[in-house]
Amino acid sequence: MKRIHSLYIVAAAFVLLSFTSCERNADVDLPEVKPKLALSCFISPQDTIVRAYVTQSIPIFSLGSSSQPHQPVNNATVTLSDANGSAQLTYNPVNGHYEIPATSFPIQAGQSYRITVQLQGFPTLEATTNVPVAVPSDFSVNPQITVDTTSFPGFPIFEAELEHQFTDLTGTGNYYMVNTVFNWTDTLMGIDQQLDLARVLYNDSDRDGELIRGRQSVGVNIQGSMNNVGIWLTASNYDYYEFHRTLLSGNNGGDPFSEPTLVYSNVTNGFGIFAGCNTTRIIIPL
Amino acid sequence: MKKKISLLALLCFCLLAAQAQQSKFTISGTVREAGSLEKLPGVTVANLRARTGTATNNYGFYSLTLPSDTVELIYSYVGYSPVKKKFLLRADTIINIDLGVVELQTVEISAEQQESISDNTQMSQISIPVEQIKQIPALLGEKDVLKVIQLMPGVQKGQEGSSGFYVRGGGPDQNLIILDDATVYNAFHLFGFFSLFNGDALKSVELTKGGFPARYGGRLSSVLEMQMKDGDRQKYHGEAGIGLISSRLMLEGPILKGKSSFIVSGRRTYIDVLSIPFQKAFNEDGGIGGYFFYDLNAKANYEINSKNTLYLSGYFGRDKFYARVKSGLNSDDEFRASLAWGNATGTLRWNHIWNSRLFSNSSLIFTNYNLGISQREEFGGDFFELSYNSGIRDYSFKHDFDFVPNPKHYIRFGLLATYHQFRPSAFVIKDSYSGQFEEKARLIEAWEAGIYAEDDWTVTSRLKVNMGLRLSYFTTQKKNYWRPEPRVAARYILRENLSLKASWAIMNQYLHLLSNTGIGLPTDLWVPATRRVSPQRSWQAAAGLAHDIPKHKLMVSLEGYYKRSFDIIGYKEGASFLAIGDVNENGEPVNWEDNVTAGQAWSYGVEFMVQRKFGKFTGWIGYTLSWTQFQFDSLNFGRKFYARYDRRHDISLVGIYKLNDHITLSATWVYGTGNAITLPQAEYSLPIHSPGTPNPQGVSWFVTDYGDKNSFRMAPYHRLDIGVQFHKKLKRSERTFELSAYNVYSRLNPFFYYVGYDRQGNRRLRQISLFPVIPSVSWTWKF
Repeated sequence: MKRIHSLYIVAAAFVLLSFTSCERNADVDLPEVKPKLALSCFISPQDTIVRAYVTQSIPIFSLGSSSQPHQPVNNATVTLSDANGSAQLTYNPVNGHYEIPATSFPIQAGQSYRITVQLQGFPTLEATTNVPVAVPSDFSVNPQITVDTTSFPGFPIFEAELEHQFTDLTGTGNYYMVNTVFNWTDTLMGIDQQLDLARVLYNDSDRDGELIRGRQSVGVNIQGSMNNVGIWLTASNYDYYEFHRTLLSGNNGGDPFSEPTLVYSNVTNGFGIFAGCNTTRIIIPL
Repeated sequence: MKKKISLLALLCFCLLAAQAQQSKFTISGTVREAGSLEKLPGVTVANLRARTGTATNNYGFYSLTLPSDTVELIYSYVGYSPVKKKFLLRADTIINIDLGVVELQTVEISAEQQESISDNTQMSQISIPVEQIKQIPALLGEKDVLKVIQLMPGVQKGQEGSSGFYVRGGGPDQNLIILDDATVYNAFHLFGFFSLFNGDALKSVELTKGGFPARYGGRLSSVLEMQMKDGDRQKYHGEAGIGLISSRLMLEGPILKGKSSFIVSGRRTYIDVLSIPFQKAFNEDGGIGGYFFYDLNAKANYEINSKNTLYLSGYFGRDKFYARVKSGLNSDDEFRASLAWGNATGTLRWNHIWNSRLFSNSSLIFTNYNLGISQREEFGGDFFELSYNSGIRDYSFKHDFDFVPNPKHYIRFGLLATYHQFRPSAFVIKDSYSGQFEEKARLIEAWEAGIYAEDDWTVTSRLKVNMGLRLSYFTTQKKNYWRPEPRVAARYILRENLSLKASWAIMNQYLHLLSNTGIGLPTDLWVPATRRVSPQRSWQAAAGLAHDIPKHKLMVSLEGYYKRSFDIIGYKEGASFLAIGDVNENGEPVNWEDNVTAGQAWSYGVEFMVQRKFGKFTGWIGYTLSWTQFQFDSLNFGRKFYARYDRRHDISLVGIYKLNDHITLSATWVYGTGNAITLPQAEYSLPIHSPGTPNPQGVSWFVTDYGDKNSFRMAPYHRLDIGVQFHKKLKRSERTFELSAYNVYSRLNPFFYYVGYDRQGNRRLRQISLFPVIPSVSWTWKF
């Protein structure tokens, strides 16, 4: 009997030891990666201020590269140009972006634009885009909204089923985003707040000129008073669509089996996006 | 339609040609193993006078038509004493031959007698003697057919320890694994670490990587065909084995002596049995959990008469993880969960010899793969029950003919029809507390069929051509696919024992495997081609030299191949099998078709192999130089990228040395270029567009930059395994004691990489290695 017990111990220990994995630093040459500039700039004729964000990438395996907050780059030279000339954007330290009033540099539908970002030690970052001629004019929303103010007094619950539809602009290569923004007043802080609750992307491949329909289910619980919900339709181009599609599909909730998503960029010598847009909206008061 | 007519015309022509040759007579029969009367496939039957010959088919049948003259036949097969027959051929003659087994090292084989690769039209094909499989050292001593297949040139393994294999750049889903005519859909135990096939019940193992004859269809990259043993018709025998993780038992013997026999082979792991006493001792709440797998192969045959034989064979295997935990305040409160998967196959075959030139085999085939996940929770008198199932079930009919009108033609024709039932997911939820009862099941039905004809045609004494055509058909969801698949292979003898071979084949595959990992997880899901997802298709061209060196008992082959594949599928970026069952942003269920993207592949390379199948020292040297690239419109921004298992260099050295009657030494060494993976390279954050907010640029999103897809190479893989077997002949039996070591020099090959931190908080690329040196011991008793 004793022997059998010994056998159990030996066998179980052996099996456990055999399957114990070994963890250590990888003994392999890593790719040489240099920091790059990253740009996010969306321009539309509806803008009152034209904005551009510039940040800097951090190589994963650089020394001291523990997960640091990525600060905006504040000393770059950002230049926006069109067929009529160019203008330099100035850095706004409060919001952390470069900006120029649209009155000084208006964005016009159907026009082409170019942006450059210069910073010492980095190659010049460069991108071009076109602003869509129009946005679908028949954009409509069928809302089914529930506001529950009694279940939790002082903490109203907003729930909505928002069905939207619009007709694709004629000609292929049109891309769209619909996003829903919830506006409310934080009564504790006394300030207005916005929550971008949902977004959905469309392209018109195989449905040029057809009616595009979609639905968003949103809900939020706040401490304050509700003002309105805005549903925004943005018409843009492939670059805009692909940047958002790849960025959003990479958000897989930590699923270890999902394929890594490569985020699209239309920027030369760096990362990010420069895209022209044309936007319309529907505001539903609450 | 024109092609169908051409096919019939070809058959008629051959039949007429056979009738016209009145001065010729046919010698036919069956070749069996002396003693057990096991039918032997691939036995060479050569007419030494005219230097013509043939080989037995999978059922031991042969047919050779020769002019009326004195003939001198020699029947030879590796490991058996050759038999010579000399007689005057004056009428159709039936000669059944029983070949006696001999000790390998005592056989002196002449050039005509040994297996020849230079003479055969078939290229890109590897057969592995089952005895060799049993002598090659294996992980934890578990002999594994698929891991031996991985040691062949042109075949790559996937992850460390995994039994999954990649042939000429094709994925594991593109391998047709057949056991006694039945397709095996998930050939793996324990998440891919072991395969279903341990060799005890197998008679032959043959892998075809290219130059596919028309009789094969349904997959793009390879056909792994395994035949189970029939069982000894004269005496009862057995074999028992005890290893570190499993034990096995095989029994065979006559049912009706000389007419009928059976073989039963089983294997079961006992990690769970060993660990339960510990779990009971240490878990006060009585919770237990464990894992086991088992296999059972069974086969019986009955020779009705000399022209008719029936076979019934089956495979049953299952893996199961289970856990039971007592929880809560009541003694009845309990949580039970299990994950189980398994295959079942069954084949009923009828061999019929119509006449000395026509042989047929008809098969009724059943195969089933099922994955089940169940969970039951009991708490305070209420219960919650969930069960999930997915799988595939096939019912097939296969009818194959071998027709040998004359020594210049060996014609095969036949058909296969399969009714597929796919169950991508089915679940039942019962909740006694809320009264919820939900049952959802989705069944997809499909028909797949193929008719084929091929002729192995000896054009001249130097040139031999195998021409064939397969017409495949698939229908599901009111969508029909008809696809012709022409095949051609040729051999030209440059000089004695040296030939030039070339082949070209078109293949279609109507099934897809949804797999994120490619390592044979039970969650991998077989789905059919649909209206939205096209069937996979490919063409492959190969050319090479085959050289026999009888003096040294060596077979040398050098082959180059180029393969193009279309409509192969992959998961979209960000998608995973875990997402199936989710809903999309519009609240609609995510269908698997939404998660996949179609693309194309390029595979090309050169394979070199020197093999020695008999003698005191056997084994092979294999080297592969290869490239595999993919292009998917929805992956890597439409740019080409290397496949994960693209392997520039792959080397296998396998040696088995029979020191004497008591000791066999063996060793394998493998080297392979590291896998191509997507590695995070940099991070940045950027706002996305968010119109309607005061800052329309929205909040910042954290972005990881990976560079191009699969642009980083893992460290190369290499490993040495050694083994020694001590054989001892007892009075009526033989026992073998084996000591072996996997990964002798404990190379820490990376299983996967991840981004981690060192003590200073710097990020480092960390690696997980699975197996250091692993010694094992096993004991086998043959009686």
